[in-house]
Order: sequence, then structure tokens, then C-alpha cells
Amino acid sequence: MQQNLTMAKSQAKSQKMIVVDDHEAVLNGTVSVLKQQYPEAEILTAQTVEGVQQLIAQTQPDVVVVDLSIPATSGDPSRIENGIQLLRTLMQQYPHLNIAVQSAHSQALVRLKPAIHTHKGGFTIADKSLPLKEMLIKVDWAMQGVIYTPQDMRTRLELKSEWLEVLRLAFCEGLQDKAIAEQLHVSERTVRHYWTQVQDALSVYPEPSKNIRIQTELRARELGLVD
Amino acid sequence: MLIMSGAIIAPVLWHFVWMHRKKKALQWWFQQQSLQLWHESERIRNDIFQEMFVIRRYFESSFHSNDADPNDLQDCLDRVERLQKSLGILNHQLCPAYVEESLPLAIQSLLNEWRLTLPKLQIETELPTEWNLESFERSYTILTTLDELLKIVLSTSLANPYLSVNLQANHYWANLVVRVHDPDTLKLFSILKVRELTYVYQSFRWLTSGRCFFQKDGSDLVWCFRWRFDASGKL
Repeated sequence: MQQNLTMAKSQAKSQKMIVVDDHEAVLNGTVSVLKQQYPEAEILTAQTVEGVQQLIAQTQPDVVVVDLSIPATSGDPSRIENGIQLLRTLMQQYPHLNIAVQSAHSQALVRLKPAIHTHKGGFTIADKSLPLKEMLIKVDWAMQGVIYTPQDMRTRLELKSEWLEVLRLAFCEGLQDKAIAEQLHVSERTVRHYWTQVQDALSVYPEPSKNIRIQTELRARELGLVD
Repeated sequence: MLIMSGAIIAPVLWHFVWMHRKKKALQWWFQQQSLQLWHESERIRNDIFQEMFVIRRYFESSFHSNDADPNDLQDCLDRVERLQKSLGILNHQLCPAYVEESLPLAIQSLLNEWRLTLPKLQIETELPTEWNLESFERSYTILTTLDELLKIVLSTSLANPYLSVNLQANHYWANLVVRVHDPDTLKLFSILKVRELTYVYQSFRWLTSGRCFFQKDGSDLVWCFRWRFDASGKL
């Protein structure tokens, strides 16, 4: 995917980021590029599950950039299971937390699909093999509240009934979010969460100069999801 | 009479015991080999990939520096990317994508590779979204069986091949059904004479204690691989 990097740098003033990786050089490399991209942001680091949990409890980060293979505490061996459990716990305790996973084991995130589908904050996945530009896009998307999971994590279109209903109400009946929320008896914020989930399911993501709702409609009609 | 019965039954029993032990030995051997490959893949991901990441980020962020020649930097970056890509391919060969996490996704990934290798190949899949986690070596066995079957079938230069792969399970059994269609039925059915197909069947039976059979269905060939599937995820 070719994307121009249109980071809202002006929005990055005094943002707080937490970067988690047990590999010191990787941690420093990630922090270094984030500082170049977000010079005003405060960037904190952690190398263990325990460390990041303490940091999140103390601060209210705008995004957590986290590796999967990390130790539970200092001196422990690194294990993917620690990262998976950490994410599960974070999504339960902080349902609106924005998370960007940066890992060489991103396929393990398949285990978290149910949790990702109900998470109300941003959640993106950046494999460590991605170029810098792509990684920064994923971090920015997470801060915008976007859900991004690679298409190869799905065997077919996976749409919950409430997401389909949002499509129908928006594109067949022309309702705005507030009216959709009233129809579905949920909050407007929940409707916006449904939008991010359905956009991820349809592989529709923010692009410069494009209206994402219109892109979503085009894709939904292409797939026959709306008449 | 009893002595004569014993003289017949004992060797038969002994034969079954011997076959069972031989099968267990082969299963253990395959498990060890596949785990070894997985360990090598882990080393690549935990060590070499991390180092490559650091080197790549260094070059990428050096473009902002006034000291470096952008052309030299780009050249270094291109080399690193090629190396990273080759490592990715090697890692994938040691441990196919998603084989640890999800057999349906692993099969999907394998079939996507076949799509790239044979663009004229039409593939239809029916793969579940949920699948109870199986052992790594069981998923690896199933995936390898499918890949070897496809190598044999698709090496026969079929004119317009159509492939259908269906994976499903109930509480006890998992089934992988592979259907191949080609208008040239003569060429298609000639596949059944390939000796290596027998090796695929026998290997599958031995390694999974499962069953496999095939049949002609009109102008299609259909293979079914079945293995015992425990809803708790253990096999």
C-alpha cells in the first residue's frame, strides 16, 4: 500500500507515547524514529510486562507501541505469551487505549482477534519487516483510533451483525451516526467504534484526500453488502 | 487346537505391536524434526530479524542527516531490504505462515503461494474462521501433506485446473477435502498412477494415525484426509 505520510504533526504536541521492547537496540531505534516524527511528544520506554503496566497506570499515553516477545519482569526470559497476555489485560483494563503492536511474531495476534473486535481504542499491527514509513503510518493510525489487522489474518469477510446494521442504516437509510446510535440503542462513540471495525474488515483505511466513509460505501457496495 | 490357535495368533499380535511401535517411532522422529525447524525459525525471528530491524532503521533515519550521501544510503537500504526479504523466505520455509496459530490460515497462506506460482490456477476455499488450536507438528503434517499433494497434482501441466479445498471438523474428526478439476480428464486421471501419491497417503496415515482416500467424481479427482480431532485442542 502506497501512502503519503500525512502525519498530523501539529496534533502531536505534548503527546505521550510508551514504547516497549526488550531488545535495547530495537527500543532505541524505535524511539529515535518516533522522536524525529513527533519532536514534541514525550516518549517513555519499558522492557518488561511489569514495567509497561506501571507506566500506563501512572500516565495516560496516547499510544503504546509494544513488542510481543518480552519478559514478564527483569531477568525473565522473553516469551510471546507474555506479550499476548499483556495485550489481553490492557484491552480489558483500558478499553480505549490506543495500541500499535510492532513485532516479528505478529501472526500470534490471531489469538487476540475476539478481543481486538471489541476493543474501543485504536489497534494496529506493524510487522518488524515493514519499512519505516509503514510503521509510522500504523502508529499514527493507532493514535487516530483506527483498527488495522492484516488481511491474511482472515479466511473470509468477518462482519458482526451490528456492523452490517451500521452499513445498512448509513448507506440505505442515509442516517448519521447520532441517528444510528439511537436506532441501535448504543452511544455515538460505540457507533464510531463499529465504523473502525467494519472498515478494518473491509480493508478500508485512511488515505490522504479520500473520504473514508465514501470509500467504505464503495467497498460495501462492491461486495454486495448494501443494495 | 488351542496350541495351534496360539501359534497363529501370537505372530499376528506381535506384528501389530511391532507396527504400532514403528509408527510411534516415526511420529516421534517427525515431531523432533519439525520442532527443530521451528526452533531455527524462532532464532531467526528473535535474533537475526531484530538485528536487521536495527540496521534498517539506522539507514532509514540517516536520510535526515546531512553527513550521509543519499545515494549510498539508498544502496545500503536496498541491500538490507533484499537480505531481510531473503531471511523472510527462509523463515517461511522453516516455519510456514500461521502453522503455529491457525491451520485454516496456514492453508490459506499456502494456497496464496500457489496462486502466485500458477496464476492460471483457480482456487476455491471453504475454511472455517474458528479452529481449535492443534499441536504444531499436527498442523505442520497436514500442511505438508496438502503441499506435497498439490506438487504432484499440479506438476502434470493441466490445461485449466480448478482446485477446491475444504476444511471442516466436528467434535471428533477433522476433514480436509481437496478436489481437482480439469477438462482434460485423461491427463487428470493419469495423476493417479504417480507412485509418490502412495507415499503421501502412507505418510499421512502413519504420522497422524488418520485415514485418507480418494475417488473419481465425474471429471474431478477428490481426496479426503481425515484425522481425529479433540475439541480440547489435543490430538
